[in-house]
This record gives sequence, C-alpha cells and structure tokens, in this order.
Amino acid sequence: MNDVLLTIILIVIKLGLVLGTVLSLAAYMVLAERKVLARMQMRHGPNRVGPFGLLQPLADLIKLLCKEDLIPERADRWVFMLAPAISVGTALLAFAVIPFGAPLQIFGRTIELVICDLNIGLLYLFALSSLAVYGVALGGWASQSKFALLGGLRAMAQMISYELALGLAIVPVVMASKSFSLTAIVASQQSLPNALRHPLAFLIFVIAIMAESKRTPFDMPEAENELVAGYHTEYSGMRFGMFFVGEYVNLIVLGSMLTVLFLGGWHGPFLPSVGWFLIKILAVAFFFIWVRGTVPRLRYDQLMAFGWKILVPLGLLNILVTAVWLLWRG
Amino acid sequence: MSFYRYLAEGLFFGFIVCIFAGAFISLRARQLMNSVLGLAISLLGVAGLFYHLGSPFLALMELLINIGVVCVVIAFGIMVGPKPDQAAEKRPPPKRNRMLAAGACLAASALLLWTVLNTPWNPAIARIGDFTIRHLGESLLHQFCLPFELISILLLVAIIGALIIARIGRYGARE
Amino acid sequence: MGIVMSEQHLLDYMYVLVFVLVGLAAAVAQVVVSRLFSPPSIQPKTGEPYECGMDPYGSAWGIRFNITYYLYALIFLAFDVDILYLFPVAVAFDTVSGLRGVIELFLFIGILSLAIIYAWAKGVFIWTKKKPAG
Repeated sequence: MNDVLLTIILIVIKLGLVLGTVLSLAAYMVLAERKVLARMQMRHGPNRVGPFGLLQPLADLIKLLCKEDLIPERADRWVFMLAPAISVGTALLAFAVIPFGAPLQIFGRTIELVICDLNIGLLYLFALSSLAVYGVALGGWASQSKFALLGGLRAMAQMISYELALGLAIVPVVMASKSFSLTAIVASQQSLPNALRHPLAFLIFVIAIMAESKRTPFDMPEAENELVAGYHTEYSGMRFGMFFVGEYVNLIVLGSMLTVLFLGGWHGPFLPSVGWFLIKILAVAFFFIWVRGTVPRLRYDQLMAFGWKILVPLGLLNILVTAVWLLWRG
Repeated sequence: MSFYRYLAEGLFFGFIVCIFAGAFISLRARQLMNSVLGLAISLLGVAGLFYHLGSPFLALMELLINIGVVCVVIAFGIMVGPKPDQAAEKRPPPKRNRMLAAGACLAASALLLWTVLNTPWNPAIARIGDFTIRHLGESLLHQFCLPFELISILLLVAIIGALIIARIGRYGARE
Repeated sequence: MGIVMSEQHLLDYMYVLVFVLVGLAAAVAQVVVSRLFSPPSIQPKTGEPYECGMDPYGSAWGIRFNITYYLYALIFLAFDVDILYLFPVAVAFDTVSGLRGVIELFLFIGILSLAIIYAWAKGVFIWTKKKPAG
C-alpha cells in the first residue's frame, strides 16, 4: 500500500510540473507569437503591460475572465459548452506520453521523465490528434451560426486530408526504430536524428502537423477575413480563451511530437536533457510563427488536393523507399 | 494489490456507464449530429473495454478508426445530405413501427444473451499468449501474408464501390 | 469475472485517468471562475448568431454542402484502416528476411495506390459547382 501511495505522489508531482509548465509556456507562446509577428511586420507588438509586455498574458487572462459568457439562444447548449473542454483536453492529454528528458536518478530510484511510458505511445498521440478535431467541429456546429459551421466543416475536411499523411510519415520512423514507444524512438536517435535519416518523412510530417495545428498556410477553419473567426465566432470570455489555450497547447504538443520523432528528442551535447527538449520545442514554435508571418493562406480545394495528390502518394512512396533502404543496409 | 483490483473494477463499470450513456444520448437526440456524438461517446466506452481486456492496440484503433473516422464520415454525410423533414420527426411513430422495433430489439438481445450464456469465457491471455503489436505484425508478415494482401484488395474494392455508389447519387444513374 | 489486466497496465490507466480528471477540472474551473466575475447583460439581440450585424437569415443547420467532402471522407476511411495494418507490419518489418518483406509491402501499397489513382482519374478530387436549384 505504501508503494501505491508513493506512486500516486509521484504522479501528482509529475502532473503538476508538466501541466504548469505547458500552460505557462502556452501563455507565453501567445505573447511570443504577437511579438515576433509584430517585428516581422515592423511593429512593436504588446509592450505596455510590464517590461517588454511580459505581463500581457496575465492581463489577457484577467480580461477573458471578466468578459460576459454568452451562449447563443439557438445553440445546442450542452455541446456548445462541451466543445472547448474537448479542445483543451485532447491537447493536454497528449503530454501524458511525451518523454521530456533523460531518466533521473534520485534517492536510488530511477525516475523516468515521462508521465507514462505507454509502449504504444506513438499510436496514442496519433489517435488523440484525430480526436482533436471534435472540439473544433462540435464547437462550430453547436453555435448554429453559418461562419462557425463553415469553420467546423473546414476543420474536419482538413483533418481527413492531412491525418493520413501524418500516419504515413510515422511509418518509416517506426520501421527503423522497431517500436511505438516514444522513449525507444528517442533512444534510437542518439547518434543521428531521424530528420536526417528520413528527410522526406520529416518534410511530410512538418507540413501535416502544420495543417493539424490549423495555422497559417492552413488556417482555413478560422480564416478571419472570410469567416470572421471561424469555429469560435460565437464564443466569448473564458470559453473562447479555452479554444485559444487549446490551440497553443496543441502547438507545443506538435512541436514536441516533431522533436521526439525527428529531431532527436532530448539528445544533445553539453546542456541537460530537459533544456535541449525545451530549446527544440521553442525552435519549432519559432519556425511555425515565421511561416505564419511569411506564407499566404491556401484555398480549401487547393489544400485538400495538395494533401491527397501530393502528400499521400509521397508518403506511400516513402514507405517503399524506406523498406528497400532497410533491406539494402541489411 | 486489492487497490488496483478495485480500480480496475471501478473503471470497468465506468466504461459500461459510458457506453449506455452514449446510447441513451444517441436515442434521445433531436438533431442527427447529437446522435453521432452519442455514438462517439458509446464507442469511447468500447475502446475503454478493449483496453481493459488487455489490448491497448485495439483500444487505440477503436479511437482512431471508429471515433476519429467513422463518426466524422457520418457527420459529413449529415452535412451533405438533405435535411430531414422536421414535421415528420415530431409525429409519433405508427403503432406497427413500434411493435416491429420492439420485436427487433428483443430478438437481437435474445440472440446476444444466448451467445453470451453459451460461450466458455477464457481469459484472453490464456488463449494466445503474445498480444504485443510486434507479434501481430510478425504474424501478418509470415503466417497470414495472403490475408494481408487480400485486405488491401478488399479495401480497394470498398473504396471504389463506395465512390461509385456516391457518384451515382450525384449524377443520377446515367454514368 | 475475468480481469486480465496486468498491474503495469493499470498503472498506465491511472496516469491517463488522473490526467483526464485534472484536465476536466481545469476546464470546468475556468468557466466557473469566469461566471463569478463576468457581468451578465442580456439584450434582445444578445443571443442571436453573428451575421455581420444583419438579422440572421435562416438556420445554419439546414445548409447542404458539396458532396465532394463526403467522397474525400470515404477514401479517408478506407485509407485509415490501411494504416491500421501498416503499423504492426512496420514494427515487425525487421523480422522478415530479405526481399520477402519488401515484396509484401510493395504489393500492399501498390494495390492501395490504385484507389487514389482511380479516384484521381474519375475526377473525385475535382470540385463541381452546385447546379442552381430548379
């Protein structure tokens, strides 16, 4: 029984640390995005609240908490209330399997720096990423507003076009590392990150997660100059805030997925492993913001055609090439 | 160890509740989309049961395929299809339909019950032994390589058939 | 009752379960807190869906979308099932010797690619405009 108690305490500590880090990271990601985008557009970005605008996330939080919480009369009340929670929940749940550092040795016990090392962690992430669309699609549908519905529909259309490419890009990595466990995949990249071993899969994966995160070249679901705000048009106050937080948590999740699968996870010289992991995530996030500041939005039929006519065939081809390569290498 | 045991039992009943709640939502829904949501909740419970039975792979595939894809396809179907006649929905169904529905339900549950009572329930581990996904892949590659290839043909036929049927609806029967 | 879960299994369960609970609590707490602070001011038009300030026109739930969405979804369904089979095969790929595994994969993927080629050739990926009603 004592052991059970210890395990539970360990779970709670890990959970608290991870959730706290992720949520505050998400809050500052918003600030970073606004700052970087502003600099790219020759503006200053938020700089009034605190030094360099560092307290802006807090101000935003207070503002959102004090906003009126509207539920449209014709909306499907329950689904409307449920949708933002699904959006945040699926994003946060992904962190349960992501290894964020090398195992620690404390008091003679080895503590794995991952909340739970499922031996099919990769599949868990993959399944969650296909569930994440529910928050957006249900939110858009339940509002009973045309803009929101269009946004939700587009989110689903995007998911069905890019989820497949995502899955196909994962297969070569699994073939080489022979495991679905994320820790095993990280361990297999000690000498060489997968991005160099499977460059094509890496490319497909980057494009697919960009589409999954509903960010700029693929931000059809919330295209603000045609759909007002897309799926969260009718949301206000903290419910809107939850969609927002969910989106940025999702950004961190996808960044960690990319780091774990292709960028060598927490491996790196000199710095402690957790430090490397954070640096890699932030680099990926910066890349995403950069892309947002640079690339224009696609049209949705172009977007779906790109997914099906280019990414999926390339993904299938890549699996075959990897198979031949593995055979040739022996 | 009894703590874990209680936890497992509790979760088992949690999943059962989840399944029934989903079914109930699905039945009571006025909007078709709510029925889909109910189906998704129900399938979530089923995925939990798979996990409970010691096959996390199946559980995740249940999430991925049934909730992540089948429900989304149904949702697309609803958005693409004609809007059901609201007036017709509110009218109580005729008595004959009710009798038929009740009969079908009873027959189905009787069949299920008969199967449940007549099956010797061995623990899954005792039957095969190796449940790892690696073993699954191995047997697909070695022992069952013909079925593995046949699956791809089956899927191909399924896709083409579905496309043909959907497109006949689109252009009329002339194509 | 045949409980067949191992202890490790249950532990994994517990982690995910606690995670779900904490996530739910966080989600609910935010909304509850905002209830306490937010000013309620329901005006006659507050509950209407936003349509650029005009009176809402019809219901959003009656809109019929292009069938191409559905066709895409159907292909996606079949391909996702295919990925379900590719995953275990990918893990165990190193267990087959020599050419055999490669040939099996080539056949599997080759046959499946025909589906995309078929859809492409038949113009499923082309978006047609809806004919005006009547």
